[in-house]
Amino acid sequence: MDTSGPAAFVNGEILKMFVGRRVRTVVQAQREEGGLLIGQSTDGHQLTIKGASGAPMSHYVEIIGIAEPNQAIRAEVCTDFGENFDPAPFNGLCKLANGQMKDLFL
Amino acid sequence: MMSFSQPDAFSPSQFTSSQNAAADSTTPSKSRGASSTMPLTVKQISEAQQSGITGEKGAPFVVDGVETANVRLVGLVSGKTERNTDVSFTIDDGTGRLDFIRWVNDGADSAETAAVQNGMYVSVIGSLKGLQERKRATAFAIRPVTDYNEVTLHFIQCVRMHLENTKSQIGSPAKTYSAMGSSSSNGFSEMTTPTSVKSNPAPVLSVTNGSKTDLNTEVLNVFREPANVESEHGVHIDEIVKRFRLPEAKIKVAIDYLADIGHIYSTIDESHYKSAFNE
Repeated sequence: MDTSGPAAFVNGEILKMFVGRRVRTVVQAQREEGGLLIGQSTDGHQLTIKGASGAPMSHYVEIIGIAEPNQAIRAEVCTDFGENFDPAPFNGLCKLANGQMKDLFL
Repeated sequence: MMSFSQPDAFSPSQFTSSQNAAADSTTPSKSRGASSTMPLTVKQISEAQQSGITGEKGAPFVVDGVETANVRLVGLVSGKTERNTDVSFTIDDGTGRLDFIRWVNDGADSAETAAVQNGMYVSVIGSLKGLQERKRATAFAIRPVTDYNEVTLHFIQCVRMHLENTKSQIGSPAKTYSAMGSSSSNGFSEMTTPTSVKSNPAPVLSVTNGSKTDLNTEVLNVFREPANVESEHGVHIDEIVKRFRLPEAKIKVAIDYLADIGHIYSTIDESHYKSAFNE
């Protein structure tokens, strides 16, 4: 069992607090720009995902990777969550997982 | 361009596909309450203490003051290794990694484990083994996640369970985890249940006095009857059909639901089931 490298649940706002650390988020793929995926976070921020080109547009995509400055993530694992994902509960979970319920996650 | 298969190893430029983007009618809703398995994160498991004498072999683990019989995790599979008698794999739920072993006794077990690939999101039900830092788990039910709202829901259920247990634990000794009531005032509104889950309510059995009882609960109660718990092969679906005098399809839906969330498991074939948790 290993809990040494957890990935924090983040939305666009919380991402800023985890630069340099491992995070997980869900974005809705909007467009690609020069090999970068531009997606909208569950709280409406625009995030830049490095190394995640090829995502189906408008699909929700889970990104696990390292948070970088300027609302960017260097992707390690990408999972297509499809079109039927509900972003609101995930956004609420991000707040819980970094607030009063932090001990369950980090 | 990305491959939409289930890759053995992840590279940043590979996507794992939606194993099925459609909403899955078997996804459990938190509002349904009673659950014989405890939804947990690996982080919670890492902090679980064994009850009884320290280091006592086989002593149950305690989380939030509650002894855990069976646990449920949702995470990504890695390191899957198949042998003649078992399949071992690691689940990474983002809070940590936990090693599992799934014993393979028959064709049904083989089919279940064959459906699971590295890089896939799965829901696993099992029991904890080992001592403190060397915890591992034995899986007895594993299935691919088909509706990714279930990933969010699982973690919300972990939070809810934690709140429920810690709220009732003030000043009381460790208790064995049993079915939890569905009423809860812990601040989770309907908003926290993903849309696709809300749109798939549990089958409902109408009773003559006009009240409604959850068919899932009624069926589960049959499996939990002492005679059926002690039965080696469990209960045949036909027996349930006779008992309720309902269409087989309706009973099958309830049984599939109960099996999917780990309340029951198939034994000698896909028609015999037993309760996974005996109170």
